[in-house]
Amino acid sequence: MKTSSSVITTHRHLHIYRVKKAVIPWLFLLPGLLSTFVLRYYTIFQGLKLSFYQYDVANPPGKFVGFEKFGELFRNTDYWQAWRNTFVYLVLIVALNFFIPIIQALFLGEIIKLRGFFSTFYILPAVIPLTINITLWKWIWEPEFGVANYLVKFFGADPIPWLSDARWVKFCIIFPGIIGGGFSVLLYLAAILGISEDVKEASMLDGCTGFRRMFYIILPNIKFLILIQFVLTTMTALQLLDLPFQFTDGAPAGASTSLPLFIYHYYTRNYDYGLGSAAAMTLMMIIAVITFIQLKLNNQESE
Amino acid sequence: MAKNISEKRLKIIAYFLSTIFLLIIIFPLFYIVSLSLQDDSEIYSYPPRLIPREGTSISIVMDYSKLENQSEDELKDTLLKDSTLAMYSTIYELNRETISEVKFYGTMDGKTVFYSRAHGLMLRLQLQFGTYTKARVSSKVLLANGKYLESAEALGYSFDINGLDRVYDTMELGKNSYSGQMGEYLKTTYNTEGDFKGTIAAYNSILLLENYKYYYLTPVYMYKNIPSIQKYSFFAFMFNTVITLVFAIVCEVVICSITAYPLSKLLSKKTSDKVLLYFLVTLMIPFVCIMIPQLILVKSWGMYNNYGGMLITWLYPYPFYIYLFKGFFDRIPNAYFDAARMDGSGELNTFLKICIPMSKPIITLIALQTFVGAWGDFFWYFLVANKPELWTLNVAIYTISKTSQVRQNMMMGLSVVTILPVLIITAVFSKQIKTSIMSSGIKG
Repeated sequence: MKTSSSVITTHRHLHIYRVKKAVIPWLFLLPGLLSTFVLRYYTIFQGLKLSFYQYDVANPPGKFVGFEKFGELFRNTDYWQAWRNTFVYLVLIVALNFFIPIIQALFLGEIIKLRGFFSTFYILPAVIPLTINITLWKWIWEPEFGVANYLVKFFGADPIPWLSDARWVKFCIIFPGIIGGGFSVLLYLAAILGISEDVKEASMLDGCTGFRRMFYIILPNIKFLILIQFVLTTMTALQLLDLPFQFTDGAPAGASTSLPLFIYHYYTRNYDYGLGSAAAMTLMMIIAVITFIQLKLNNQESE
Repeated sequence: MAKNISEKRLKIIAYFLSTIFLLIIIFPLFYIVSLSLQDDSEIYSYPPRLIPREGTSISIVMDYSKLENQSEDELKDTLLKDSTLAMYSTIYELNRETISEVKFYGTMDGKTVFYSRAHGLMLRLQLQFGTYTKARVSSKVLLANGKYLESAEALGYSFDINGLDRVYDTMELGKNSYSGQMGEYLKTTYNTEGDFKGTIAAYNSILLLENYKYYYLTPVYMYKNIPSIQKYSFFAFMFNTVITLVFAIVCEVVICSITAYPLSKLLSKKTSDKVLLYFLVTLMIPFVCIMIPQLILVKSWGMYNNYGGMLITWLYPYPFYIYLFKGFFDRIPNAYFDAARMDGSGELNTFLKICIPMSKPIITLIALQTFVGAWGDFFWYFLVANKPELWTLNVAIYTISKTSQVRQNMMMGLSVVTILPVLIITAVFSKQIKTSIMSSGIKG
């Protein structure tokens, strides 16, 4: 009698144990799953839904129009202009901003004394808020009293209206990133210092010294980190919103409007949530495609 | 031998270039400070100035001996009027000079009976946002509706018919280029009552540092009907920022770690991969795509224009952090957890007592990364809160910079006040920050 009851309790314990084992992980996951669902899946679904409506502020969501908004979007010249601008931003970011931290880290890796001192200062750009940096640079680009035109005149060229010049405005917005620094320098530096001493010494013995060592030994060894950072940079560049918004808000005449800013303008200026959402969906599709291609490339890389 | 030379050359170039990079990185900071110490005439000068000029202190001396017969109250009123006229007109008429301080001495029979002193920026604040908001400077406007009394209260003064112990340097009186023109316009344009004795000019760089006091007061002058800004000025924005930062860091660390723990230690690999994918897929969703739906949602929950709406966005666990946490937990041997479970420790207990204490490096890293992300965050706060009492520093600086009366030096002054605390924190914790990032394991 006693034994059988204990068997039953063991059984029950086992049962409870199994249920617990199955349920507990999901209790841990619950907050994250839920908030991700509400703040990302639900909202993006709402965004998709909005793109099929002629939004009515007084009576949301307004009239269902099917794919009409997408047609309207693709006929919108501003939309294509925004894509062109976004592409220019991407090229400028890669050309002016992306390589600087790599170069900084490469040279920092060669320094032994004072490395701590230098790297402390290299963090600075990460802690100065973007808004302050933009306020400063707006003044530097100021046509009449700014430093930029002072230098231009100093070298004998004609002053440029910078932020109000459609040809220069995108350059002006991206250029401040050229000072580099930030946390990415430290990431590269960690990768460089992580290269095993054996590899370095062997290369030295083979006569691979100085700049040759930098190009043929160190760079290939941090290739993977560079690739990852490149992917992140591409993503950030495609989602560029704060910078053009705070610098010029699209002026002059849409010359600095990135695609995210175009979307924002349709949301806030025209209250055309349908068109804005349609544009947002196309942006997401492009980003999804790029992510997919990059995942493929990464897989090939690791094989 | 050849090896040594090429290594040496590289080393020299490395030091040289790193120094250049260092200077380039410091330049914006230096220029922010420099601009904040320049006055209106200097920022609007060509060529642009990198080093601010010394501050000029102007003392104006006027004599009232001829008003001996007036009663004390009448005399005081005359002096208040004259000091107001003299001080504001100095700032206005000498706007090409760096006037950092104006002092006014009223004398009678060789004694100083009246003294008032104001910093140049204080006078400008009064003209832009204070007593004389957007008014044209003329004797009529300055004295209208008893405004000079209000202004004198704000600037501060001392008056004693029997004489104050304020003395000015009689030797220097009138020995500067300003005296002539000032005597002229004070008499003719501003119709002051007293007899102009002359001015004293002194130069002092310390006066420039006093600028920051008035930059700090600027928001107080700009947002008169917001109690929190009246009381704490810029620290009201700082407070909002700190709230968002703390909430962001706590949420990201807590939610990402409790999400990563079962993915790493409790679920089968197959389920774990699927759940991780559920999170990682959302990385592809740009913020701008969900911005408006999220705003509509937050509004429908009554969270527009309050802390709730500003903070809710941080409840979303950033998938990359989950991934990093999971990677870190994967490297902790299972034996630790099994041992704890054998001792009858519940899963939550195991997580809190075993897993978390071992995860300090990754927690520091995620906290830092979240800090940097949240510190620069602007758009969501900008959309969800339009009341000044809810502004974070970024929103405040952006909005203030859009206000037409605010000049670059004032903006930069506010910026210095803003970044100083962060710079100090960075300097103090730089070692920890560096080690945590460099040992983070995201080496590719």
